[in-house]
Amino acid sequence: MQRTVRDALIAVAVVFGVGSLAMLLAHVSPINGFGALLDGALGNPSEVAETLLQTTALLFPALGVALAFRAGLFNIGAEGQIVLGGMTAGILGVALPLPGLLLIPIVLLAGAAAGGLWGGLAGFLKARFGANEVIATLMLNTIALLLATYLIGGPFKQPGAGAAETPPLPAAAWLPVIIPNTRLSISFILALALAATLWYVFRRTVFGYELRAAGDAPEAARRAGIDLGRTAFTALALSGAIAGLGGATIVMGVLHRFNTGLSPGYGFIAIAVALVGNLEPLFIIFAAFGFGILQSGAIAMQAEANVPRDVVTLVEGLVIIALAGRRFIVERRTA
Amino acid sequence: MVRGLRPVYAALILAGSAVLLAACSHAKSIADGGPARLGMVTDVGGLGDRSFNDSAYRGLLAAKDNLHADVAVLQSKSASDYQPNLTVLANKEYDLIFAIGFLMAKDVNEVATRYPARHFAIIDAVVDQPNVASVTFKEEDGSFLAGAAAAMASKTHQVAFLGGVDIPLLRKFEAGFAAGAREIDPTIKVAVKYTGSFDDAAAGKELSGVLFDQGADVVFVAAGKAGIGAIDQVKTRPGDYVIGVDSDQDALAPGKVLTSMIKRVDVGVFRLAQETVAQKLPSGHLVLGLKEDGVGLTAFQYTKNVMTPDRIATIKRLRAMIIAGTIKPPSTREELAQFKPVPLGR
Repeated sequence: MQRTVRDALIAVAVVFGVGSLAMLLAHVSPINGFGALLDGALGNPSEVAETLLQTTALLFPALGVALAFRAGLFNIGAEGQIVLGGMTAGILGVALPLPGLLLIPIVLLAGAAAGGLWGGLAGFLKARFGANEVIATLMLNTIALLLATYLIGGPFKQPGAGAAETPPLPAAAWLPVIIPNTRLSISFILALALAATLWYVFRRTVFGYELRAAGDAPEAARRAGIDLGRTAFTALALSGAIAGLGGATIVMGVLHRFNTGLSPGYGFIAIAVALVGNLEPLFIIFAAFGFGILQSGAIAMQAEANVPRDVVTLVEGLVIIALAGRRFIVERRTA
Repeated sequence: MVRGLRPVYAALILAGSAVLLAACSHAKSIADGGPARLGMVTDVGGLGDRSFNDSAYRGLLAAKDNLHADVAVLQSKSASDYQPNLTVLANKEYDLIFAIGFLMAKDVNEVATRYPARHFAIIDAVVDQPNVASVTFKEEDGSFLAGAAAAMASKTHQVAFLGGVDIPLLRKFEAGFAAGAREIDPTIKVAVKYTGSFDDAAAGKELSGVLFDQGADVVFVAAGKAGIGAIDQVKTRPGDYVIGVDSDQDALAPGKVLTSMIKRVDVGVFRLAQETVAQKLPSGHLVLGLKEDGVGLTAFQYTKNVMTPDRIATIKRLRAMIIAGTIKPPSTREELAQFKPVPLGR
């Protein structure tokens, strides 16, 4: 608990400190800059809805990253898993002739399966050959993006389209909107439910215990009869499935078609979100909301205060470095 | 350690609250009766494309300088940025929100439905909503003149069109160009190729090379950044020319770019800005052709050796005939098949 508060405060310090510095360099008063950001993210109900939309997009991959992290595994591949989950949803949502009640769950599950396959691949390489999952998941990102670019620009290209994207999804495959006249769909509720489920799994199930044992004390876990290879595979596959599910909800709830630009780096920001939330699903919800504010307020900040929105990308990156670095140092010391 | 840092955290929380308070007062600063607020969302080409988006931005800057409007530009890194960008400008109650490019048509349609009280403008596409103004150009008119100039400059009686993506918008360029060439030389060969994208300079270079090798000596390139590749290609080919598109590209290879078919997106943006400032919020469909200076050719600054005063006079006569309605350049392949050269007269 105390550690969570401390990590959150470090993140806030980095955001406001470095953000202010960058704004001063751009000759903008940080009060105006952050003012425009917060006003743009929370100024009226429809802006809050956009912020919750960003929160949702970050929450899925952050939960996935946290699951792998609990088992001591760094999943840097959420970005690629989002892309493949989204692509699968984009293709199947158009191809399957089913009514909405069946179509939506099936397409969501297919998106999760695609992400799970991709995460599982890294897990298999780890379990079978001892390949470092950081490198494997990182490189699989590039492969996923190029695979999607090829499939969408080639075999599944929409005839006559000016951009590489799938045809629009039929309305039956759209996730229902929960606040009228906004883009916020039931994916938000789905993400919250998933966070609650994972909280239960981590706290109360054998699997949750195995994850933590494998992560915190692998040697002891192995001696206690936990199959470390199997745990690594399962953790990375589930982690990928959650990120892939997130990708599917972006396609079905927000874009209503797939293109390779569906994620502006959610998979990477998710690492910061998971760390700020100290790998606790319920705290991660609040962390995702915080980063959601940054994501959605950045656009208004650029329009209203003339601060390039890359300032937000910058501080998000630094939060990852600050928290991941700290965690790394602490673990080195205690190991 | 934790205890020692407590004052720092307290200071941070105070600073955060100060910003929050500033945010609340900030929200009320949009006073009625202030300057017009104009927002613009670029497509993925972005600012610095030396073509379409840059031209729109010139129009917006002209509105800032001459009409004293407040302007904001949001660039789109990918297609999924279109809706968030448009939505933010709608939430921030901009008076008119420009969407630059047909790629945004679906998104403008959705956002305009969600924000019926806000006004939008889209370039190069028609969105049928009461609060959306659509601006399109008679590309076939300008391309007709480009085709005529190409046929005049050609020694091999072969010219070519290299487009970006084979869609109706680009076929307006293609059909107008082919008809213009036939107007000057009824038996001329017009080859047609498409690169398949608007951002592949390498494909532009390669395919323009193929067209030159097949005997064409003037290639009209309407393919965004791919045009830069074609201009690279023609630099090494004496006697051959390319024709540029959208912005004035003549100076990119002086003497090798015969002319550029310019599309004055800035003119369209500025006109809608004027209407907004005059509190006549634009809607409906604005079509810009030769008469409105929405399209046209550059002045052959570097190519006067081939484009003699006689030939330039003919181009001017064709322009007048199109404006008068004597010549109707085709805008589709079907219309092109029906097209018959009109006697020029003296």
